[in-house]
Amino acid sequence: MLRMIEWHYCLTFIVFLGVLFFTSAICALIWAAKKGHFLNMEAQARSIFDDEEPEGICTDAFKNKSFF
Amino acid sequence: MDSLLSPEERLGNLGARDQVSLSWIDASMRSVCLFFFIAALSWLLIGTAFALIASFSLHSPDLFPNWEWLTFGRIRSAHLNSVALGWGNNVAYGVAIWIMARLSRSEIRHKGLLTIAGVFWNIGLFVGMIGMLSGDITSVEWLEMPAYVVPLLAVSYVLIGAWGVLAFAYKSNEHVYVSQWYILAAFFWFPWLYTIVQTMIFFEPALGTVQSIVNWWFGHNALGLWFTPIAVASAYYFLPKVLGVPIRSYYLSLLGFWSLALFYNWAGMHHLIGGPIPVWVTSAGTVASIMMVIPVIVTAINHHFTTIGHFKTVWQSPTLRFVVFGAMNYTLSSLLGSTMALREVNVVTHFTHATVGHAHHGAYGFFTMVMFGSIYYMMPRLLHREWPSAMLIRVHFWCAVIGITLMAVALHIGGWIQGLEMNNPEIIFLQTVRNTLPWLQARSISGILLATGHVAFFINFIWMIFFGKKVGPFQGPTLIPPFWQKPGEAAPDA
Repeated sequence: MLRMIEWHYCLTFIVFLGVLFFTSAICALIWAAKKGHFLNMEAQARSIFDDEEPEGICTDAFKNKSFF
Repeated sequence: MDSLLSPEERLGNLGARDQVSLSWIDASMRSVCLFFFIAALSWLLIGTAFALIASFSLHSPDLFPNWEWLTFGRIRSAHLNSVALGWGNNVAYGVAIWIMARLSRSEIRHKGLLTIAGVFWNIGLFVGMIGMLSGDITSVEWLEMPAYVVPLLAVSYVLIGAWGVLAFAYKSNEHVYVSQWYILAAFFWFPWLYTIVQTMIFFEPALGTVQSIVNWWFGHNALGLWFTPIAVASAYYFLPKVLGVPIRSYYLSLLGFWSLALFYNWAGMHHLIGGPIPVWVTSAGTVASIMMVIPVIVTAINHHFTTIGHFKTVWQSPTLRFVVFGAMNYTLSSLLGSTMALREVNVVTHFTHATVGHAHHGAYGFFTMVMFGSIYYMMPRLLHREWPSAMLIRVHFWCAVIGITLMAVALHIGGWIQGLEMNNPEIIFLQTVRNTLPWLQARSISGILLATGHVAFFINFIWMIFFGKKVGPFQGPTLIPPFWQKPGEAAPDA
């Protein structure tokens, strides 16, 4: 009986964590939508480029053209 | 490294900008990322040695001395934990925090959290490894570490996750790139998974077969909600970055992320098909596994179509060779995994070497290959030193490619035959075991190849840190051509 009561408390804790988890995920989704992160996708895709590492420039290569 | 500009000097050279420059961020992250990479490579070599012992033990059991710590049960678990938690987690931390810092484009704050987490993590792992080898081991797959190191590991996860959230919160970039979604989610998911599983299996054990459900919910999600998001995030960053072209469809990348978040955490139940648990639980796992085709195909379209027309550049880039090979294996291993979740297929592959082959295909062919590629890109930028030997990179690449391909093919085919034979009542069990020997020997050969590649990588890595040729901040490290080079063009001294 005591074991079942302990398990009941444990389950409550886990359910609480689960609710927290899914609430956070939904909040993240709403936040992203409100901030416009699902709009202007082209700009989002290009956000990894800048003056230092610009678009259209390859940034990593072997110096010789050996096939292997 | 003393000739390098300090972060402040570098910032000054660039001039004040709204966003912190990438080279400044690289310099700021140098010590922390190096710490994680050195730890990761050390565990990789240790884990590879354990793997070879375990692999040879399966077909040549008299090869090693009759020592307790060398028995298969301990060595196999020591291998899993060395490569998953030692190599995998350390390298994932190093790569993920670097990408997060670069994409957030803000001043690096609270680096101490990362250092403390890294030290705690590796101390916990070392103590746990000694414990496991000396017999202090649990019987739960993926959670073999003794209970006394769990708090250390859990605290480390939480600290690194907290740093990721802080870096994101202080970001100066108005955009959120898809890699940030994946990394943030992974930082958030894993501590949650780990807390739940430790609670329900060890601290307040659930009753009966619920423990098995929790075990495989965790075991599968450790791959799918921790290692996979980090590697997918890295591929989404390095593919367009090195090629100099944006990803094919940003819309699809977001669809891939949210569908992964929705479907993956159900999928682990296919490990228990045929087990003594409610059928609806395994059915839900099978359905979710098939639904995983959506994020996999979406990600595959983005990864593969981004590289179309740039094959020459991919071949010339050490980073892209590894990352593209990893991305190809993500598609292949994920689709194979979905197929293996079908009852008709699972009844053959379950309890065979095909499952082991699938795990290695995903964890090495996909995750590890992407991580190797990431390190090849990051190290020259962190140190402003050249990779000393292109030959060693090639040796590493070919040993890894041939090794993991051989292993995946041998274990999938051997496992399938093993499953068919075990389901045939006319074949005695011992004969089915004997028939696996050629496939297990092929696995050991593949292990030797992988080990050779790891040694080549380690030599190049250490050589670079201590003796690598220095280059100036904007000259571009060795294997990186000058800025004027267009995709596909060879360097001038080629």
